[in-house]
Amino acid sequence: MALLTAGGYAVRGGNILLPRVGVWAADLELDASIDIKGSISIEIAEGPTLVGTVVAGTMAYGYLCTRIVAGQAGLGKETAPKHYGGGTVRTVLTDLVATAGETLSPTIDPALLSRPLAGWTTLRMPVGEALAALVGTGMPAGTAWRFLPDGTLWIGAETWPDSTLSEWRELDRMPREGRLELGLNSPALLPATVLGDDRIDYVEHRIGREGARATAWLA
Amino acid sequence: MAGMTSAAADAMKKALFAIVRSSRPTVDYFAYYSAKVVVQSADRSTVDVVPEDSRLPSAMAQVPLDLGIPGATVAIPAGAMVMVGWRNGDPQRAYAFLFQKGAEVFTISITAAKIELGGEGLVPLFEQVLIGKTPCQFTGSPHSVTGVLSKRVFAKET
Repeated sequence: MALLTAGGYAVRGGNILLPRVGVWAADLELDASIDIKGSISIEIAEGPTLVGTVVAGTMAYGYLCTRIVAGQAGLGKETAPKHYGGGTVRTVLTDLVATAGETLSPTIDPALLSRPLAGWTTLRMPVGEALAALVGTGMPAGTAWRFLPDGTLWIGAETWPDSTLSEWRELDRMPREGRLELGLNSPALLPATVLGDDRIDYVEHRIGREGARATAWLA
Repeated sequence: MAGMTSAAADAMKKALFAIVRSSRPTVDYFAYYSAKVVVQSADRSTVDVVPEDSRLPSAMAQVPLDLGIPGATVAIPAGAMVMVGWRNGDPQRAYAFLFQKGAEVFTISITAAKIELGGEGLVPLFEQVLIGKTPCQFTGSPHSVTGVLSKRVFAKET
């Protein structure tokens, strides 16, 4: 069985970038002879399914090189400028998410969405920038946001669950840089989890002939 | 970029500038933007404005008006130009300030324990005009009439 498939096609190689704060993305080479567009699922062996959108694709050497971005890949869209005299985080966030065509995760703490805002001004900017401003100034310090594997947008406080990986090899550790090189059975390690004693902040999975390798930056 | 062709150097510069641009916000909560006052609240504390820059909302209601002078308020007509900004760059804290030169003002009100006009540390009876003066009936020299004397507003006579 392939380490991962995307849209039902085996993945020959590529990278998956998973930030703790931000938007995950993948550059994958698929065993596909046709161009693929729109929504796509990346099925990871012994791992989660990533739901995203193909934003670019090129045929090369008999396979398809794709760039896949989390959710609907909508955070680059421009906001509609709007001034709010008051309201809650939910009021502003709902408008931003609607503009981006994204979906909020049902796992967001309702208390966070109910936080009152004294007012708010959304300027014309990419939705991602406006979202970062909302999280940075309208929510408690340390609040994170990211796209979950299921393609929904999550906002909240980290809980640092265990990664649940049962097997991995630590190939190198660079304490000064806060970085690990890992050998994995599949690219199943996610950010905002704990691997051994380490909190994982950002993961770059590399899939190639040697299998799955990852660079993990520590929180 | 020694040894590079001019085209390659330009391409590298463009790429570098693109990286720098992408790290900066396209529009800034720390900047100020010109806006026209549509209406002022009855208590003079807020204004509804229409910003000139299309990157801002087409209308912003009930924006606090901070003149920058404690105790001062103004009553202004519609059409006055102000600047709009966000305190500490916080999108929750919009405010309007700084009227354009030549703006019409209906009323300026200042509430303070002491208001001095024309100088600092003005001395009652000697340096203020908000008292009456009359010639002495015996000598003809002017002297102050202190029956009704403002203890709050002090203004230099000249």
